[in-house]
Amino acid sequence: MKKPAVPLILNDFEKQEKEVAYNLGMPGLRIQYFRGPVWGKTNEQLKKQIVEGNNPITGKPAMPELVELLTKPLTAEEQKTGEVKQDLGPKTYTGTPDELQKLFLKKRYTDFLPVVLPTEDKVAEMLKFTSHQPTEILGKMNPGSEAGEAWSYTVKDAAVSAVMAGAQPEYFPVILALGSTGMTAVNVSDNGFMAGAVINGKIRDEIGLNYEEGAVGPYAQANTTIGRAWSLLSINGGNCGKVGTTYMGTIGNPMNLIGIIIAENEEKSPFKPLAVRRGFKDGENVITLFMGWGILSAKNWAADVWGPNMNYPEIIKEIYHAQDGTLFGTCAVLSPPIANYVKDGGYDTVEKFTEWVTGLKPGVKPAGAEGINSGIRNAGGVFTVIVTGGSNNNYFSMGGMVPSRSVQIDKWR
Amino acid sequence: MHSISSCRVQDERCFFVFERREVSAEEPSEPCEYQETGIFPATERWEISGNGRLNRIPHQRILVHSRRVYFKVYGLCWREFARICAFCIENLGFLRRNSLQGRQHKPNTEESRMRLRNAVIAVLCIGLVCSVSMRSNQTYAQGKRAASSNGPVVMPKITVLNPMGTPPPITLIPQAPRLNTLDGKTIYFINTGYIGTDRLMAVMMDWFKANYSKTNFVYKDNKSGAGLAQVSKDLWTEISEKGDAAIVGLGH
Repeated sequence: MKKPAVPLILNDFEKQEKEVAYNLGMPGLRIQYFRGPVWGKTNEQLKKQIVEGNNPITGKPAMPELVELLTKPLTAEEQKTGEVKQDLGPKTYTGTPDELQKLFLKKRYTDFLPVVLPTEDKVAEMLKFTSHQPTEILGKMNPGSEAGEAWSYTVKDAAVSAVMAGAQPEYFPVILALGSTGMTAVNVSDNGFMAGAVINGKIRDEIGLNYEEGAVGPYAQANTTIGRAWSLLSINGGNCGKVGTTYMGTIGNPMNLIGIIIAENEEKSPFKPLAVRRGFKDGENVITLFMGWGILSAKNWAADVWGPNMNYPEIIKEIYHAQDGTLFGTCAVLSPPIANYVKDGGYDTVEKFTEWVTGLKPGVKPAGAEGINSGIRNAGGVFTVIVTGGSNNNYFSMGGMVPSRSVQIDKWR
Repeated sequence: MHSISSCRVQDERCFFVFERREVSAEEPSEPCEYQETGIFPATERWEISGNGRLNRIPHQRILVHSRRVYFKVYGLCWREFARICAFCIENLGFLRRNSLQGRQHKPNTEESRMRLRNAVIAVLCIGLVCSVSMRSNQTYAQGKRAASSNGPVVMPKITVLNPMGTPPPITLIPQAPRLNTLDGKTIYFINTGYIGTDRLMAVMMDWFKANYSKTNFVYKDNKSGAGLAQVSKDLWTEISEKGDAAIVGLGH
């Protein structure tokens, strides 16, 4: 618009906003910083703490400084044009394994756990499990819409992340399917979002995904390393996960390390697999991506009180209505025994159960993001059912995770 | 069952750190010719000397001759042992693949078994952590073990790939010229929708009105809550045509 503008930013985001401004081509963008948070404060608090306060970074009175940002003539630096190339270092590094592990830590290529060092041989072995060319652009990713332009990454870049994560080569098509979506596993949001995925089809057994006891826990190589590879690809291919710039979760989210990679227990589920419910063929190898807050035991909710008589459909419904589904809806991760309780309760399909739980006819969209910041509570939102895990007890988890894209895995073989 | 948790090389010796978990009676046994679990106390360390004898040693490093002979690792299943050797070959270059392959089959006779036993230099440390190291016969015979263990680290170098993706090129955008004065100008306050921004901007506008009475202020609310990307083109056009500057918030 070619008019002077000044963005107002909370000082805790200074480092991030400077990087974003740099990535967008305005490294010297004039920004006025305030002490936050702003949300939840009265007008009187805002006046005293912010408007009559100082810029926490410069120490100067905030409002006169804001006027100065609009009126002080631009420097030569602020008027620069041209193109800047970002130096990402050499294509290879040579050193002893110890030196390279330290280098990868220093350069923030890792999740701070030791990685398998990506030698050309190991990466080549990974690439044998896809017919796609190493140089093919697999996807573009950024840490979130607020965090600047998307980076791109190739099939080979994904293979490097897969090696580093400790993934077996046969997992690689799944990792490529994840990477092809461009969805980050490590979102920048100060909310602390997580990401996950549900895998359906025969590939679950082919690569040894765990969908029995401990299914959403970290102790299965395929589930864990696929999730870690996605996370490392997000860090290195999508510039995600850098605390202070591209990872701004106020508390953070421990599920960002490896996400939640769920293989549905299709064999013991009374329902059609998630992928089939989303329009794919039965038995087709499909991965469905999720984003949200995560899940935790349903025992966390007062509705789930242990007793001799348990009405699990009612418990799930009550938990659904206790959730704020505005952003990510409600996700129920049911063990086979609980799923069968639901079926025996008269809901032989997820669709029937969903209609009963939400009170909405099929196809009716629950209240969603348009309600954000309105202060209006949206019960439950989009309701998703996943069946996985063992049959050793009547336990299940719930939380906020909403499905986004579903991708065929076999096209990445 | 054991697995390598780390490995380092120092002065031609390879130090492995193993993690161990108990093998239950129900667990299927591995095809392990020399498996002898549970015979070495966790507090003791063992080494195989040059003549193939197993000796107790008082420190945590277990010395294993390599290059010319192969070691037997008590308590490790054969598959784990093979994996350790493969790790050496791939990462350290200490063992020769051909020789290894020659030893990877199960001996058929007691004689061959004994021959292999004599050739093997191995140690098991049963405990939470155990280490295995390798060094040459010559160095060992010269009694330089203590000195060499404190020597400089000698590790083979490897080449690895840079894992970074590709950022887009950055095209520098010059900032718009600043105003000479606010007097007589119209300043837009654009609320991009984050919670509390409306209140903050109301309080800010009060300050401006009190301090810049000759300036006009216009407040515009962007209700999408989705940030600047969702501010309508119409609004940008309006600011371009009717405004002189904009204050946009809130980056939270």
